[in-house]
Amino acid sequence: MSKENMQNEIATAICKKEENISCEECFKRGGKEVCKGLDKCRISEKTEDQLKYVLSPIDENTFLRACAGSGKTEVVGMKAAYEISKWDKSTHNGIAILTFTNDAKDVIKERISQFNNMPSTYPHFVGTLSSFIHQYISQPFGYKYRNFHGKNGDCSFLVVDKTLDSYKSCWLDNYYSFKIYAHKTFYDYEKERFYINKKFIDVSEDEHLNSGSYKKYIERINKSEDKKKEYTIDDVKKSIITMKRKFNSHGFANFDDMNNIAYKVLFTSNKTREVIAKKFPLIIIDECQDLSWIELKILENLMVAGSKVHFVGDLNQSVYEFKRVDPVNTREFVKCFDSLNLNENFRCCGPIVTFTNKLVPDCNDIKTGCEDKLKENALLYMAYEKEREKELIEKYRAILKEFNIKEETSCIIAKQNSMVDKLLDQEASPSLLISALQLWNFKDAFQKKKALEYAGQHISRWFGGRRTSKNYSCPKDIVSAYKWRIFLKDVLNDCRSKEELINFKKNYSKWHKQAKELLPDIVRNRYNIRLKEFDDNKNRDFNDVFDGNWFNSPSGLGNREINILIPNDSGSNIPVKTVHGSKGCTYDSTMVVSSKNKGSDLGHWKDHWLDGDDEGKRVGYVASTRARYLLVWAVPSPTDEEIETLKQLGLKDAELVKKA
Amino acid sequence: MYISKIDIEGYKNCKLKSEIEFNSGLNIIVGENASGKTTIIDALRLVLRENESSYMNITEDDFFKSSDEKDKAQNIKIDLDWKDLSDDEEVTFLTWCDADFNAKLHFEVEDKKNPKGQYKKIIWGGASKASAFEEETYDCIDCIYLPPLRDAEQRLTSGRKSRLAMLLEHQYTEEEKKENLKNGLREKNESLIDEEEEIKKAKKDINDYIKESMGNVFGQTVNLQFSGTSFTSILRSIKMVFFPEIKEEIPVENFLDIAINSLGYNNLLYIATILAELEAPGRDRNLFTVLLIEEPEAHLHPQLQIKLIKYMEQLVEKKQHIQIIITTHSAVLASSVSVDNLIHLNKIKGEIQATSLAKLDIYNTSKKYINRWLDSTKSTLLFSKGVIFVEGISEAILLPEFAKIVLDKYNKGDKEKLPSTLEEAGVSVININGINFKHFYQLFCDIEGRDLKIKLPFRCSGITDKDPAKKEEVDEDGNKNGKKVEVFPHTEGETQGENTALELIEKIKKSKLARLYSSSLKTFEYDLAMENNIIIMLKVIRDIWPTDGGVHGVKEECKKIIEEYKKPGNKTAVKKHENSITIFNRINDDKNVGKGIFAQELADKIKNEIRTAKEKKEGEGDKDIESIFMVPEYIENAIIWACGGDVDE
Repeated sequence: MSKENMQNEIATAICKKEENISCEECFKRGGKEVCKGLDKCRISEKTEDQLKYVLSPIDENTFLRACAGSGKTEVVGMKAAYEISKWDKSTHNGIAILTFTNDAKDVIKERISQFNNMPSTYPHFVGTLSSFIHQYISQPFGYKYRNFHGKNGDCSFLVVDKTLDSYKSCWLDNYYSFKIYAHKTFYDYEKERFYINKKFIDVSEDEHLNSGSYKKYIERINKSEDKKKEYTIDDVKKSIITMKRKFNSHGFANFDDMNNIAYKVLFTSNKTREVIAKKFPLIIIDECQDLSWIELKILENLMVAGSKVHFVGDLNQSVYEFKRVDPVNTREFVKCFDSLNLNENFRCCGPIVTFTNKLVPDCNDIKTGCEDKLKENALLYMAYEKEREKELIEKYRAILKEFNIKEETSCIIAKQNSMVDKLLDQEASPSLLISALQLWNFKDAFQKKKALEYAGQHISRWFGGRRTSKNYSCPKDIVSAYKWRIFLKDVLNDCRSKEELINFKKNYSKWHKQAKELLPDIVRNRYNIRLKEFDDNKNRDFNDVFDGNWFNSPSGLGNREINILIPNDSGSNIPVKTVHGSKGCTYDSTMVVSSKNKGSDLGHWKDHWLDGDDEGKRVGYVASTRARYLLVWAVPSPTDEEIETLKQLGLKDAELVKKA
Repeated sequence: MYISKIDIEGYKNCKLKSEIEFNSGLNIIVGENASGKTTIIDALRLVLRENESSYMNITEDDFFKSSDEKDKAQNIKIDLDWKDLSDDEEVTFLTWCDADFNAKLHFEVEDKKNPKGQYKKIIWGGASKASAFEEETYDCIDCIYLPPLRDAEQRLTSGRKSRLAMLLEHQYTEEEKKENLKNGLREKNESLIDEEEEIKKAKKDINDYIKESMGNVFGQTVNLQFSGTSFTSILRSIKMVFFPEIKEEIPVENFLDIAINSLGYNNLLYIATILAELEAPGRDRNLFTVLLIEEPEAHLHPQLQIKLIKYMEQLVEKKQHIQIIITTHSAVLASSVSVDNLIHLNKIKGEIQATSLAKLDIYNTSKKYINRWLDSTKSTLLFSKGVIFVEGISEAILLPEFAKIVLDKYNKGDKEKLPSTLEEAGVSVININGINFKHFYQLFCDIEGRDLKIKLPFRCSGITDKDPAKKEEVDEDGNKNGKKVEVFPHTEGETQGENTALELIEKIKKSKLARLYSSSLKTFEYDLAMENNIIIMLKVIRDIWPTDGGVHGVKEECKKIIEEYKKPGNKTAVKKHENSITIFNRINDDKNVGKGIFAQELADKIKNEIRTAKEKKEGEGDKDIESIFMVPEYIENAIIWACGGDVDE
């Protein structure tokens, strides 16, 4: 089909263009609704490759490799709109268009609604992959396969965050044995063994149980007098299974469990997977490089039952190894798919594309589709000294000013949250409540939000614990997350009205002693006014909570003076994001800040982004492909050799720009 | 698919969680007043969003409230279950399905208002709240409600509530044809109004006046046209007219406005409109349709009721997607369908107890028998609080009078008081014309003595005759001559009953709600006589015995026996036996009196004497009601049992 024919076919379907005129002609005559305010027809501006995908058959499994900045979201939106406009309206089945983040979901929804002006997407589903798995598979059907009989007639699983910490008399203690919490464990069907979450990383049970400290723990209980038998690692393993079963059968599950449940539902019940496959004969996955092994298996089951899938994404942008995502699995999975390619990067200018092509393999075919405004100044590096990261912001602002780039359309990107916090002045003090109270006084909305998060994290412990870190750690028994937020606000305001609590010129121990006297009344009072009626636990007794050592200064810090946060008054308008938070975003300029030390988790420019393993390289690639015209790498005090490496790659010293 | 069950709690007059099961196809809900029929229909309408505005606004009145308002429901919970989903329906209703692919819809309201004064509703599908729920699935269900005493007229004439407009809308499948209708009307509009001088003048006057009063800046311009130029409003402005016969060609001007039609016929026209809509080409073929009809008997004479219900029966047989749920008080309606379609309601302590007669464990032959037998007089049992089965017409006539005596006596005791008559107690006496008790008792208990869960949830008793076997006649020499003769026992233990129903008595006794009692001696009339009712019974025979024809001298004979028997010292056991036999023979002499007439006369007599006694009683306290007639114990037990009293066992 010629390009013009393709344009015609698509425009007739989605913009309702008259068949007898061309797209250009249509636009000249004022265009359709979707072109309003644009200087080009939305369809004729598309490349042939993009149009080809929109018209690709939906009865074939398809992999669309879409490089960074290739207009992937627009194309997926258009593809969805095109198929929806041609969909048989008399059926109640539909297309599932799945993304990995809510933001991406909203963007795609918005694109679809630009083309198809409908109040709802029914019978199609646009949402995140996990909401699809939860809402269409694990939640409706999972109870039967986990022997969960429901609470008050409701068989929904309560999803619990595996990174939650437990503490004295927390409800999670009911699912705890041999020093292992059920909510922290999950079975890995790929590796055929259990994993245990350790805050930032999941380790296999063997690794955990054979660690020195754990072995010592087993020895210790075997020495105790009231032991029932000689415990072995196998006993622990059995107990992990038992606890997990109990946890699930009582209606609790962590995220990994939810995927496992969905997998179990689909491979156990042919009927269920057939009905779901009939309901969603086509599934489009955006950012397919982020699919984990188990998610691929879930999709595979639906494919066996008749669903067709379209994978769209860039395997070089897979950065979720910590969620056990390996793009090798995806590459293997799409081997037999029809394959299409979008290799024109409309986001980054020539120098940036040339530079980033060197960072990852298999992308020599990627070419730029973006104007080059800064020529030899498009790629810069900026050195910084340890503990002086904040100076980077001022330097970067100067450069932006030099090139006339707005701060609002730029971004500072770092791999680690700690680096982001440092650059944003949001470093948490060792005491969450002190941080919350300090940040609460700042004018900035981000910092106020952070204050609520810290306060929620701490105060939820006095309410028997949260179940996810969402909704400001809203406790398990509080039914209104909104009322919880208001409650936190009130508590923070009440605290700030007490001189003793906002005078931070003292040591941690003294502050905690005063807080221990004042807090119970504030919490009780606010609870009774605002929160009590939204509490499922009608017999809540704070006397149990505010008893004994319930609130002490962080261990070892009692005598230390409280660290006082000063509001950032630099007036910088540049957003600061993590690499993962910047995924899918476009900025006129970015400064990618490398971590100081090589031991950091994939955050060092040389050890990880250039010389690291595949995942490290991909992190560097994602971070570096966000900028349109100017990319700055901020690197910690480079050696001469390192400077040479940077120059070889085409990066120029930012100091030279300033002098010029 | 079909709605297989609804659970209701805290809604309208239903306090406790009540489960009502439905059959596919036709369901007829029967039951006395306030048994919860309307609550069920309203719950279905609410959950299925029959009426968008009522669904939107839950009011305080929707929550269960006791009459003294002390007891109030905190929550309304309504759960709906569907079964037998087709392959397509499983996909369509996926987000309402549980893990076994039955659809479930849940509706919850807490008695707590938001600041705007609205109640918060929680609606979810399937087994878990956290699963996906597609609102649009509601579009795949069409719930049509026909209220009782409906204002059919309003629905058939023009206006916003026009059901006729919906029918017409569904006839259109192509946009083009809709356009044609609009354009056609617009042309007529323009041409007609523009040609009318009078209208043109009126229009000009208005416009002139506007200009004068408001000026050119604030002024507006008006045009005059026939109302409604959008497709929907054109349809809404169409109204129905009628001609009172089925006829091919009727001049347009002869049709009459339905405002002058009879209520009953307007009802039928309305129902016909709805049924026609089900067939309309523009309607989704797969649309699951629930038709809720309250008391269709309103304004319809019995034959029309039967005709209508038979049509519905055929309709659901033809169309798998339609489920019809009807509430009725009409015994005619209830008896003209198979018992399998009936759902009996009973409200006990705030809980609606629903019994689907299709689910009763009845032997197939019995089911057929009951279907044949359940005519409009007998189906009154479905609207009763208790029932007494009797063998024949005599018992049926006499029991209501006996009951007055029995209950009067019972209420003098120290047990909890019962109503004073059967009518008051809501107890029906039902004549089964024979001894086929085994068929009917299966509605109430298991005749094998097993404890079954599903049964009609009210008391039932029955009385049957002992019917001892005839004896071979023995002549004076002690030889049997091969002739069989009636036996007239003096005491209970003397003979064995031959009646097959007697075997059931002990088995039935094991059940919670059913009892069967038998006469102790022989038959109804003989046992009555032997209970020392010789004089009153003879008086009745004397009074009704024909003066001409038949056996002469019976009147005189009765008179003589009465006088004789009254004399002191003559009421011996031998005389009683002798006279009872005489009474038995006279009553069973069909040629001259017949049991029915005797029973009628005796009933009248007892009724009069009770009335007299009651009148006297107020002044003097003279005659005791108890002594008017001695009711045998087995009858007494049956009456007390059916009325809900205590019977010594």
